[in-house]
Amino acid sequence: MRFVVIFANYLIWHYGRAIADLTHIYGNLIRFTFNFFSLTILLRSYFSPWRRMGESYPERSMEITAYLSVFTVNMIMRCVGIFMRTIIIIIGLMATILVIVSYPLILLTWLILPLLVVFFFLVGLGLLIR
Amino acid sequence: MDIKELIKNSPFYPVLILESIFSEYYRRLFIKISGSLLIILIAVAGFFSFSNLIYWAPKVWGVFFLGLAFYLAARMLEFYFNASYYFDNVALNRYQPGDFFTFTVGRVLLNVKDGDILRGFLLSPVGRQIIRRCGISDQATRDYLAKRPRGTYYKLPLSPDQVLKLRDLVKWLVTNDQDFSRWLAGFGINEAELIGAVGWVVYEIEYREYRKRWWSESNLSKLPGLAKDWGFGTTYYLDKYSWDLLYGLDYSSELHEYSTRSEEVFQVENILSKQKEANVFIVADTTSERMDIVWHLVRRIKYGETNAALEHKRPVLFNTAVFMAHFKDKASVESELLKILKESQAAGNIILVFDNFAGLFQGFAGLGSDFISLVYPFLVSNAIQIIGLAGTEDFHHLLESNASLMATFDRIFLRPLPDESIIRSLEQTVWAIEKEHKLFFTYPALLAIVKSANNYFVVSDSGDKAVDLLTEIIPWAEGRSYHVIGEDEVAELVRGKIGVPIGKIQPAERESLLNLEQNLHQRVIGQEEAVNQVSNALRRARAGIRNEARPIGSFLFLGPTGVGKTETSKALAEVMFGNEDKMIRLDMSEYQTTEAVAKLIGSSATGQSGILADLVREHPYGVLLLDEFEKTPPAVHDLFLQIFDEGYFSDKSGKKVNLRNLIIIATSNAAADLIWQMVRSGQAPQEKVDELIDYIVQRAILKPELLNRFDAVVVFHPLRADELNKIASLMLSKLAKRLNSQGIDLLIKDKLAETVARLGSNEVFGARPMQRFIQDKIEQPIANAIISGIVASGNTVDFDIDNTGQLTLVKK
Repeated sequence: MRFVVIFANYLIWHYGRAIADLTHIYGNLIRFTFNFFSLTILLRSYFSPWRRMGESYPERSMEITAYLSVFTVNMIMRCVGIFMRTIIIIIGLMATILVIVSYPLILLTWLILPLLVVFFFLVGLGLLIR
Repeated sequence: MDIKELIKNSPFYPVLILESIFSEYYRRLFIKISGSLLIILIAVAGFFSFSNLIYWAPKVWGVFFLGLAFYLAARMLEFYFNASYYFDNVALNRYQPGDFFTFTVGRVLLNVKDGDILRGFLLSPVGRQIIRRCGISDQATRDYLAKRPRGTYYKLPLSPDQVLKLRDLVKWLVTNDQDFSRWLAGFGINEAELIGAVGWVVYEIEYREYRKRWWSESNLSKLPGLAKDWGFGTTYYLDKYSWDLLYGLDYSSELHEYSTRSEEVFQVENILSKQKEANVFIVADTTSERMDIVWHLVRRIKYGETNAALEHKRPVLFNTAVFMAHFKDKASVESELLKILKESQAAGNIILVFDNFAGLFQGFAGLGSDFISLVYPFLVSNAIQIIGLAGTEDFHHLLESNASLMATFDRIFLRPLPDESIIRSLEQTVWAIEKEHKLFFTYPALLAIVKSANNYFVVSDSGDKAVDLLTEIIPWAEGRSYHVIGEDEVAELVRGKIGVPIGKIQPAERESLLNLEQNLHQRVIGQEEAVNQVSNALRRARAGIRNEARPIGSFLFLGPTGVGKTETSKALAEVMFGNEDKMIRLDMSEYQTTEAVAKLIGSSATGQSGILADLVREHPYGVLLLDEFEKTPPAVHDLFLQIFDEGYFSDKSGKKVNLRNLIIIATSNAAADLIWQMVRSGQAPQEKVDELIDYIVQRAILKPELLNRFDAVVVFHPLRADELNKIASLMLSKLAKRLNSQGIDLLIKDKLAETVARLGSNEVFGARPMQRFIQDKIEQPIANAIISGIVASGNTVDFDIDNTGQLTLVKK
């Protein structure tokens, strides 16, 4: 009788509350991946120079070459920034997609897990007594 | 409803059954072992599959799959258990009235056989843990249960609109079962301590479960992300003199995870989040108190728990000493500081923490530079946030008077922590210590640590002292091979540290307390009543009847000069604290002016520290002798009124000075005339204390409320001739002992002692001139004789006395 109570209660939990919890945890994981790769920050600062590096334009000089040299340096810093960010953004997006895609797989595994346990048990038993 | 029925109707019934069939402990053990076995089996099965012994492979795989099925089943049960047990109940406290009791109580009730709830509690895992935390061994519990007269069969205090928690259950048990509470009392455990232990154990369970949930949002966010600081600038100059707190070690230390000052941390966070002038002074006495707040803030930033304005900020600790050591002139120090500030501003995410703001201010002043006007433009900008750490005294002295600083900085003064918060933080620290050092702390030990820190180490108002004491216990206990730290062990450590007898009375101390009178009489001649009175008061204090928020003892010694008041105080210092140097003496006749109080406690106006404050800080344990107490003005009397009442006073900067570990003795010869009159008329003044007190009150020498605060008013009577003789003999024998070390014997005949007593004492000064007399009339002739070679090592010295009392040295 006691086993029946546990078993019934377990199944109700397994196909009810547990699925809701699993979905909730997945939500956490997706948010975590997004934050871990700082995707929002990187997109927001996509065009800024690498670590705010750069030179300031001369204040009173009229020399065009001075302006051009500063402009080139700053441009390079921006390009370095864009390059580095792009790499992280791509990796981050891939990781996020991976997490999202794995959800149905994990969910499916969860749904058939009780059957899997029975299956493994029978297979094991079968192999032993063969 | 009987207990079985109750469990059956509970929503936790299925999980509780699971617990009774296959308990959490065994489930977790099974998962651990079977998991490891599966890995081994995979390796073995793989080996057989590829080897020639192919026949065995299916069998091994068979075992593997069976094992896998069992492992998965156990895992699923564990998930199920955790979800029902933890998610709704333990962590989120989502109990509903219909639940009747909490899950933990359910586990206890599960152990109940034949309706005996106390037995069920004491034998349940959580109950055993609680009792162990009370310092009671499992064996003692089993013995108690075996000998217990009868079980607890009262009806459980259940109500449909309330959930019975473990602490309610334990409280109910201890209130209803007198025998149980008596048993606990036998181990020195009262209800409050038991409930405290329950709180600690439950807190540990909750905390452990919380940490296990790596998938929760708050735990996941603790992992630092990638590329968070790419959008911010680097700080080349700043890095030379500072330390990036995000990469410091302390933030991850489990020892400090629980901050007792969350309120202050939130205040700091709010101030730093302001649009401009986001600067704050954290003012506290010790560096660790100030840094505790900073570390907590750093942790919140690191784990992404702060508000949006502080996200991705980089708190940097600026080392004032290192910075100032680099510069010798005004121009270079100014230009370097400006570079640092501009760079920090440009970086865009710097929170500059100045470890010693007042020191920096002074350092700049020393080089002739005005630090404030240099920093001011940055203080009002919104691109940089500054935290200035400062000691209380430095802050009041150096910073508070600067209007522009006060306008741009908010201030946070750390309030004293309540004991409950300190205990909570110790509880968490102890887990880490126990794990690492294989020690076990009882809950009363924790209470003793907090109490000792408060009573015996009053330097500042922080929980730090308690943590320091706790950390100190580790090597101390390991050195003595102690494994369980209880109340007594804490007392032993503290006793050794401060030399003040506390905790259980030790055999040697017991001996000394019981023989206090005899011990005092080795130095104090006569004054039987006075010695008895003081001894009794001290025994009362030590027996535990003493109020620990007051000095160990406070006495008023009344009597004429030279009758043994000071000698008794010295003797007390020697007997109680092991050394007469443990007596500090203040001649109160030096504090007769209106500035007396300022001289004693210090004055913020002149910046001078107080004599009493300094003396007591240097010698917090011992005897404090206040000579001629009646001569100080009433304001000083009022100061001592507070000291006798509360055991402390506040010095000029508001810091507490603790006098709770002192025996305070005030002496006065205010009623000396009356005492003499009584003696002359054949009365014993020591029996007329009330009359003497009336005399003092009527003449407004001391206020009645002050007189009432003394533990005892002790009357010293003028010395009689026989007593004076004994004193003379005692003094002469001391001299003889000194001479003896040089090989010279001094003959002390009764007549010599009598002469010394007669000529060396008088009515006004009692026995006080006797020392001087001996010096002039005995020591001096001997010294002359030694120098002139008349007396040498191996000789005996005697004194002839003629009728006029003239002493003549005779060599024998």
